[in-house]
Amino acid sequence: MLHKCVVARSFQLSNFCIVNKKPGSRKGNRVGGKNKYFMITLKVTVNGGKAPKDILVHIENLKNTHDISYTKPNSFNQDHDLPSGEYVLIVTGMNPNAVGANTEISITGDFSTAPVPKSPVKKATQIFSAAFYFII
Amino acid sequence: MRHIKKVIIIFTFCFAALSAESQDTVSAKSVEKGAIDLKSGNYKDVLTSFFQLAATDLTGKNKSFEFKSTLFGIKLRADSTLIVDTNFIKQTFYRNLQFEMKLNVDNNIKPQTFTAGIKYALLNRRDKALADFRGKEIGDRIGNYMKNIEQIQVEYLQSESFQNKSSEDKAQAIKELDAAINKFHQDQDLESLPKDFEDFFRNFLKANSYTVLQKGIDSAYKEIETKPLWTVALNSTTNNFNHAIDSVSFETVFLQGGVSDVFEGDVRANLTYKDTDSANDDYRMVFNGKAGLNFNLFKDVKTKKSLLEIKPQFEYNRILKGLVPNEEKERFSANAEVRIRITDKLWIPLTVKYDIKNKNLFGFLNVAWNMDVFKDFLKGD
Repeated sequence: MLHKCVVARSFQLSNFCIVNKKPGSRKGNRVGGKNKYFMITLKVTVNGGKAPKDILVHIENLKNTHDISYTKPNSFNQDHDLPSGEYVLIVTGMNPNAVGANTEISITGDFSTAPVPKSPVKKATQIFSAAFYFII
Repeated sequence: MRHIKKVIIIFTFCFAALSAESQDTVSAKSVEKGAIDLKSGNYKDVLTSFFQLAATDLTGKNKSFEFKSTLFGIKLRADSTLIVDTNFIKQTFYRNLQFEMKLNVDNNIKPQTFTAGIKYALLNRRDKALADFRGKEIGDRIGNYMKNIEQIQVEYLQSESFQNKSSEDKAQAIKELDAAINKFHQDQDLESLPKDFEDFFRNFLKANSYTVLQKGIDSAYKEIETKPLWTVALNSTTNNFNHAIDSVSFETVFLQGGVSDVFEGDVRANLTYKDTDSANDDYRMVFNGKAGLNFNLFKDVKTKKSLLEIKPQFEYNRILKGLVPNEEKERFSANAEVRIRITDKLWIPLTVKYDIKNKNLFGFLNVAWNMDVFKDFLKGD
């Protein structure tokens, strides 16, 4: 298994963990203690019915091992305190069965490079995956 | 001419009221439209999702204009956040409660009677918007696909080709990757995949066929369409001289699909109490029962929209009280109702009835279409 959950946090109805890379990963081990932390907020809104499957979130820190993965059963608004760095955030999910159903994803926070593609985005395909690159 | 104006004013008022959207969003509108478009004509007549406006019996002497809405449809106009899943799932009662208004007019479009009623779905297991695949075999397959498509992107992010890019190039690559995966899920197009991501994605597809998964999902939703729906309704109608209520009817409808969504069983019973308009206290009570099967003969392959439906059924009519001279106490007929979808929004149902005992044949033409047609018409589009 590539990811191993080492920290379980208290999010009701969801699984939340910080993941480490497997041994021998090309990345370093730990962010330096002097790193500043910044808050970003991820908001996912499912429109048109119930999400038939849990929404998957993965935040990949491109420079260290402190990635975050968790799942949510429905729409949510989640804050994250992240050390400064370069990130890719991936949200994967399934839309309800109604032709106009969609999921809106937005990331807000104090970025030095704003999310690309621009947030918010609206995903209307039955199964969707949204990826954002940003630097904080 | 004055009556035509009255009818136009009444319905314009309805449109205006419904167009007064305090916080409406594109999401709410598109969901509303989609739900209307996909339903079969038979299901739509029983329980509408949001709004339906219909003109019926246009070829007969007594035409009518009808408006239906669920309570949820009205609430959504006032609060568009109800379309968000966390609110939507709490709206079951409002989504199952429908009210109807019907204005009956004569050949000169002169208003005759007005009907108002409510309908409630006692049992509604065919609500696909609330489908939940967690803990089911198809749910596991969808879950694996979702995890794998996330994983393939993580692997790409960790690849040398991505890591060696400049920040600008990484941002551009993620933008292209995001658009390409979206395009793939729209129409299975692989052409727009970023070159250094293509191998990752093609390897992913070898183990995760989206087409096969899609068939499984379609099949799971079709199964939901065959689940039972049971409604009860109460209607009252005014008379055309002093506008007092002179008729009350109670109706129940039960729909149950077969092994696929090709046909569904349709059983209806109606009990009507009607004032005879005579000086004494006489009233007339009529029972009407129908049982049949509704067949979806053709569906659009891409959109899954039902295009042609036929419903053969038997109908039993019995006058329980208030039989008038020379009237038959009971009538038994074999009917066939054909519904043809002309456009996304326009259905033409044609009903043919054959009176088994007297060997008479009758035909009725109804036209029903949803409100967007009227909205466009009023806007002059």
